[in-house]
Amino acid sequence: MSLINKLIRWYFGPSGFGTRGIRRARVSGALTIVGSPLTVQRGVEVAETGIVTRRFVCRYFAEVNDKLPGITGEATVRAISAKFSRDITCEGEVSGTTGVMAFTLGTACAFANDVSTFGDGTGKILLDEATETQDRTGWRSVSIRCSSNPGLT
Amino acid sequence: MNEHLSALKSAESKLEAKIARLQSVADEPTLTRIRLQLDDVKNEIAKLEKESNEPDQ
Repeated sequence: MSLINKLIRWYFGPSGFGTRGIRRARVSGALTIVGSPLTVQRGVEVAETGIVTRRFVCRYFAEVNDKLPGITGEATVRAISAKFSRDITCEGEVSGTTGVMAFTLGTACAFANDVSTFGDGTGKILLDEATETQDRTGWRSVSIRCSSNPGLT
Repeated sequence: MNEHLSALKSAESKLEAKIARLQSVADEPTLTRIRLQLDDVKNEIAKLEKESNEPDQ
């Protein structure tokens, strides 16, 4: 192949199936992690239905965490919940009307991403609030906030 | 030691459940990463169990 042909191919990129370019594009669809440990994660683990997930946050905490101060004002005893409560925030660009976009008040919500990394996942996940944002220079997006308490199953 | 072992066994069952849950929705690199995590946990459990089974010197 002449140098000029090579340059033209380089400039316009690959075409047709079975080219190196097509394979390169397919590989770039997922990230390749190089190095150690290989168990690190970059990006959101799995897609949520209804949105292109930008950020997924799950906070695990003890609903009761009460310290009894001793005579010096420092804690000597503590009452603490046996199971975790959770606050879940999920944000992303709107891409549909089902899944996250169909959450309603008073009904158990389910996420594809991890919500029981800590604790045993006890407690119905309920919708607290949803904020939908439209921006002249950005994508229509939503921020969903849910919570769960282990005593409410 | 026992608490650490039970925490690891809990992590093991969580990861196995996670693999089953994500089998149809996650891509192969994601599943591979979770399988690697599971392997790490299984190795740690085996190491602890071997240590606890060894007679005291």
